[in-house]
Amino acid sequence: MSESITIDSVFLSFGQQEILKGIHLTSSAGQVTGILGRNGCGKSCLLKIITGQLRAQSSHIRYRERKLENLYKVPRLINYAPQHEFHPQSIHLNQLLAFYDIDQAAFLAQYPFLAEKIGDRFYTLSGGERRLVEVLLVLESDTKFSILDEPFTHVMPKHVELLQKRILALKEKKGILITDHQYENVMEISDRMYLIAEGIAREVKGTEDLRSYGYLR
Amino acid sequence: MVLKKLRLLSIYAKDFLFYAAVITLLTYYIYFITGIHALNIILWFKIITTALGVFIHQKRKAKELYFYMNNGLGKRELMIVAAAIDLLVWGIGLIAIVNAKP
Repeated sequence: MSESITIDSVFLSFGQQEILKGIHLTSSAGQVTGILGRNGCGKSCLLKIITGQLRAQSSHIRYRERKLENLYKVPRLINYAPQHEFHPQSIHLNQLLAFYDIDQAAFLAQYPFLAEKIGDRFYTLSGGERRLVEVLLVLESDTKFSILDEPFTHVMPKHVELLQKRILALKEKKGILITDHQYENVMEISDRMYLIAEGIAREVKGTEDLRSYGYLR
Repeated sequence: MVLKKLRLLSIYAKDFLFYAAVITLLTYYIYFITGIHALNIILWFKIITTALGVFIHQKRKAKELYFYMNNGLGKRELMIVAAAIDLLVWGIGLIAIVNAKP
């Protein structure tokens, strides 16, 4: 049975404004699926629908061909890093690792620059470090799929490169759904890419497609 | 697993339970002053302030929700357990006080 999440027939509108008009996309285990789109096109809304935090007028979400209302109801199926900070500020970094069942020694072996911060409270980290840590916690924890909303935003280029490497390494273990405005960074690591424009998702292959659909000049 | 969930719940509900404890003590004080005939008012006061507390707490913690969901606890689960603990402690305390000072 295929380890994939399929999102189908997603229709979302706020009042008269139609945001999503029949989105269809698939995220498979062992792959990075990129979602691109302009501001306000509905990318984050789509991720909230997938995670069960926003109810669309219509949506069909399936995992292993089974229809689910909320993917969080299946233990260890998904986790999600929204685009805003979402961890309690007073928790220590080592406590966060424990909550996510991440082995501290293995984590620090992978990210030695965080060793001196391991006992620090989350709010004492810089903005870029907090973002990096949040994305790493979601990536490194044991779920079948990770959904990342703007993981590269506020992260310095050196750490963006690190994140890309880890995403490519970890896709062997899980499926990764990613959206970010830094389209080149998303394209470099994606096995499959979708562009959301005018309420629908089109599969795109490269920058030529992005130009032809008006995402790039 | 249960211990982890309890720790997560304590992080989530700490502020709410402090607020609830203040309200609980206030209702006990009102009971001491007014006696048994104010029980109905005390009951409604506790229910309304708890509902208000739940509403405000959920708004305040909305941004952190995915942290708890990523770790296996949903929005309803968190708030229902927190409110249930508060109301249970309040109810037991009130019964004890009513029995001690009818």
